Amino acid sequence: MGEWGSYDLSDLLMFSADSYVRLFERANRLWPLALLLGVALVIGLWRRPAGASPSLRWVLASAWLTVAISFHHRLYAQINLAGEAFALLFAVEAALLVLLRSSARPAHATPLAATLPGWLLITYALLLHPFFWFAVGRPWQAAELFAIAPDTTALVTLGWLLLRPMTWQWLALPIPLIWCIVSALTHVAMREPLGILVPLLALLALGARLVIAAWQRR
Amino acid sequence: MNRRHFLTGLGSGLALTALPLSGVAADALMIASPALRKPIPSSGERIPVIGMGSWITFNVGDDAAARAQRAEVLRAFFADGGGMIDSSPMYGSAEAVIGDGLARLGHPSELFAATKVWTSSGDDGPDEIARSQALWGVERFHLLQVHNLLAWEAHLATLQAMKADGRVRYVGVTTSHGRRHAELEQIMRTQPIDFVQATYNIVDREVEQRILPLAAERGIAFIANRPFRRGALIERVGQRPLPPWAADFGCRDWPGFLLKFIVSHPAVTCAIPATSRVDHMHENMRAMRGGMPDAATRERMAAQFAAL
Ligand SMILES: NC(=O)c1ccc[n+]([C@@H]2O[C@H](COP(=O)([O-])OP(=O)(O)OC[C@H]3O[C@@H](n4cnc5c(N)ncnc54)[C@H](OP(=O)(O)O)[C@@H]3O)[C@@H](O)[C@H]2O)c1
Repeated sequence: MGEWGSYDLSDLLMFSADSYVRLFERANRLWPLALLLGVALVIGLWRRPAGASPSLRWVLASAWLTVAISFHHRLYAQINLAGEAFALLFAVEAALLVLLRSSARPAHATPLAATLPGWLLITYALLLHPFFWFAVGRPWQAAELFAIAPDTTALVTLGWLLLRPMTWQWLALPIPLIWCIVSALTHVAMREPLGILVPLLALLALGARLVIAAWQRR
Repeated sequence: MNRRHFLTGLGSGLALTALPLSGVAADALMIASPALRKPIPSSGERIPVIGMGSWITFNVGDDAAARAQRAEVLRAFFADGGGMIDSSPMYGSAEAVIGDGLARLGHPSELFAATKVWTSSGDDGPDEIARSQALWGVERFHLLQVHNLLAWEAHLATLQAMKADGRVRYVGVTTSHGRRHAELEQIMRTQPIDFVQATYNIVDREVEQRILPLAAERGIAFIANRPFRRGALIERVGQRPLPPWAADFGCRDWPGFLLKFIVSHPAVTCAIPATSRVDHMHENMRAMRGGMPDAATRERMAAQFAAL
């Protein structure tokens, strides 16, 4: 225990920030697939209110599985000993997304105002987050795209879950949240403190969703 | 006549003239001056005092562009007279990337291959070493070390047996960040090891108290890891100019200042700075040429650095 106390967070980081960024540049070769899943996601969100389209579960599950295989297993695991564990975590989330259906009974429907945090989070994740790191000089080739980059995929999924009624389906919430925290710790260790925005936004959206829903039910 | 021989001739000629030297001529002189080598006490074999670490810097996976660039870092290392490369199975893909670079360079004969065994089970040690050998593309390592003293009793027994069979030349143990020095000391007192590796730099000087004197007394070579405290010491100096007296021992930049401080300690055999950049490699390798500070100057260096 005493020995662990002598480690900094940055001592546990085994790759450089440059190598981390290169992962996205390389993973982005799959951009046509990401585009396809992104378009399917937007259509699914558009067609039915409050993200109720059943196809969305499959789109999101496909995105998590793609990240598990093409990002974590294929690339990240080469430079991070925890990469395979992350791949497994993402595959489990893909399975949860498929298995956990929600009985969208009207009594459970999310009040309209309470869907706002979810919509905001999805909009941010799809339109702004991919380019977030450009602010610190990352190349455009390293944009963090939905269905390729874990952070963006986790944020979109959280946003979608926040649109959904609070049922068993919310059991798919912890893994994206855990990932957001892992990502923040990784960025802090890489001396990119802006990384804490990812879990911060996720938690803010979750908090807002719960507060608005509770307030509306009073 | 190759470039180094030409410059050696040039250097000895220039040294006779006490004229002020231009930067280019000073560079030429520096390259021409012999690189400092120190003996491994247990054998007398002399190795260059600046080696190369590979934690983080060589962990780039199978990224083709990054691998090609790291091969250039290795090329610079050997061109500047480097020998020891230190790695570990703990460093992700670093061993594979080193092996790839060595193959591109045609396996330079100057290589002093040093890796570690890092597994909590003594039984798994031999397989792990065989994997490392395959990744580096070497028939045998010059030095095998027990990483962070993990399961050291079992691994040292394996390594000693390998040494007896001629399957490795030297054995050692490592630690870092000032951890477990008491246990390290115990191992140094009781085990017939050739090398010990621990953190030593101008700020982290704890090893000067007991470990370095013990290494000298027991005839154990000492490898200094984290010479720049993972780069933080170089960042700390920022844009500040070097003290002018650093030129007296052939020092032109802060990395050289920090490295000369380390390798000029009589009980230190070599330092293993890690870098991912060719220009940094050249800078670091310059530190083993052009003179070394004496004991009094070393104290002055430490005081100067502490006052920054
Ligand atoms: N327990 C153990 O066995 C143990 C523990 C720690 C370390 N080690 C060994 O010791 C080696 C060295 O330690 P370390 O890698 O932790 O840290 P280090 O060598 O003290 O510092 C490496 C850092 O310094 C920077 N750097 C190197 N040369 C530079 C220059 N000329 N100018 C500016 N920056 C420069 C590098 O960045 P650039 O890439 O940008 O040059 C890199 O970020 C390790 O790689 C490893 O092989 C062993």
